[in-house]
Amino acid sequence: MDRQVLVVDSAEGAISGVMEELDLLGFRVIWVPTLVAALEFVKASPRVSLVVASAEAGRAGGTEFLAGVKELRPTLRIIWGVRPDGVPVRQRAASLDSLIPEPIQPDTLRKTVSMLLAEYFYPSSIADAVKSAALEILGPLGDFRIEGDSFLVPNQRSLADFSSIIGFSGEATGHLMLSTGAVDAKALHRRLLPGTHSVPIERLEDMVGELCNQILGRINAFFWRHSIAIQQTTPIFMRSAGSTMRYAGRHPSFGVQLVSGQASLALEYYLADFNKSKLLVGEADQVMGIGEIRYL
Amino acid sequence: MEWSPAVFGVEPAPNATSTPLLARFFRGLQSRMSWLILLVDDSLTTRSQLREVFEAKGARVIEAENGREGLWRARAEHADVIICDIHMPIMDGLQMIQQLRKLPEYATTPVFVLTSDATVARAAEGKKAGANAWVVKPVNPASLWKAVEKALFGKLPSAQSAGLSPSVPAPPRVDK
Repeated sequence: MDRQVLVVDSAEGAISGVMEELDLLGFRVIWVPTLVAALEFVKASPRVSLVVASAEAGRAGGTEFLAGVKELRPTLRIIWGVRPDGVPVRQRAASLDSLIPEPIQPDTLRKTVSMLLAEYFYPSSIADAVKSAALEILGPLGDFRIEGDSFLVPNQRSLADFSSIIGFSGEATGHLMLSTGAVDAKALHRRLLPGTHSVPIERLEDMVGELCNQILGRINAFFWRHSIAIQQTTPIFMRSAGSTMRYAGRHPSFGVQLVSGQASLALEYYLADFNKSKLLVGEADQVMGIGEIRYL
Repeated sequence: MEWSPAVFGVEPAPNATSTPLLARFFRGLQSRMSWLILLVDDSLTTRSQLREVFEAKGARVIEAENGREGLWRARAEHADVIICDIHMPIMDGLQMIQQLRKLPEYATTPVFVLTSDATVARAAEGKKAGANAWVVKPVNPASLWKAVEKALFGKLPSAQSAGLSPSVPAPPRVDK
């Protein structure tokens, strides 16, 4: 899977912070000083997924670079930095995937990269399955919606008050993490078990774990429909607001923020390599629906 | 032990059991007797949700948080129906069901698996282990109660769970 990002910056530090952000997202970042060097690198390495070029670097050889890339790698994504006082790039805009104002802000970069590259790591069918599973399970607890669409999440994250992780393995491996704050957890618990007033922390923690379990069950049902066998484990619970977790993932996780009134949850789904060709196979009737009671 | 009006000291009229009114009377009477339901799930949330509904329906509920504890509780008190999860620490649900079916008093006890695993293949494993039904989480507790009621209709609570004989003290809970 392509995971290299080429950063083109003629002066060190002009788009500082970009390399660190991309590294956090799990990409292998390569820096070159000019677009001429960038084109040579693209010719030599088929594994480059994305080029991020600063406004300064784009002043020299921009047209040649874009023409060269269009011929060699038409699917290569390009992000171009833009300065407020910079040369208009309107004539090149059609060849670019995105323009980002400099100095490049981490959030802006992350959103743009997510928009351009999420499909590489999380094909739309999987992304839709993750979102649908979450909405299906949380539906009875309120009118949940996905806020801000989904996005790529780095492998190093700050944790919320309550988090639960469940791993899965088999013909695909990875994990699902569900996190929420204490206030949100209490609001959710009231919806789940109305009438309970004072709720011990263990119960809130357990609830997050159970929701994570049920959401992962529905995501796994999607894979089973495509004859991809998966088994999941029991939840691991974490209470550690402000702490950081890092896992040795080879690429970003897929993040979804779910909101309903006063309750919100963050969901992160990490999927390692698996046989993508199986997604093209038609769906088999191998799973049951939510709440189904089947007599054996 | 099968249901019979004679158990309640009532001499049924000929074809009494075919009378809808009488059937409803005995069904109501039956529902007020205390079934003992064993809930085996590592999720306290799930156990609490089901307990609330089942106790409101008049059943008695005992709980276990893994398969091994579930086996202990099943041996200590004769449950009329068992509802268990699959993915649990220490001993999973399928292993527990296999062990349970070896006990003579649990040869025909209804066992419902309640799990987030919705695959038909896994349900087949459950059937092989001895489960009677596979329920996919989340389930409406009231719907599950109806299924439990259906499984228990025509049966009397076991003598022990009905309080007709002293129960064996439950084994100590496994520490977390």
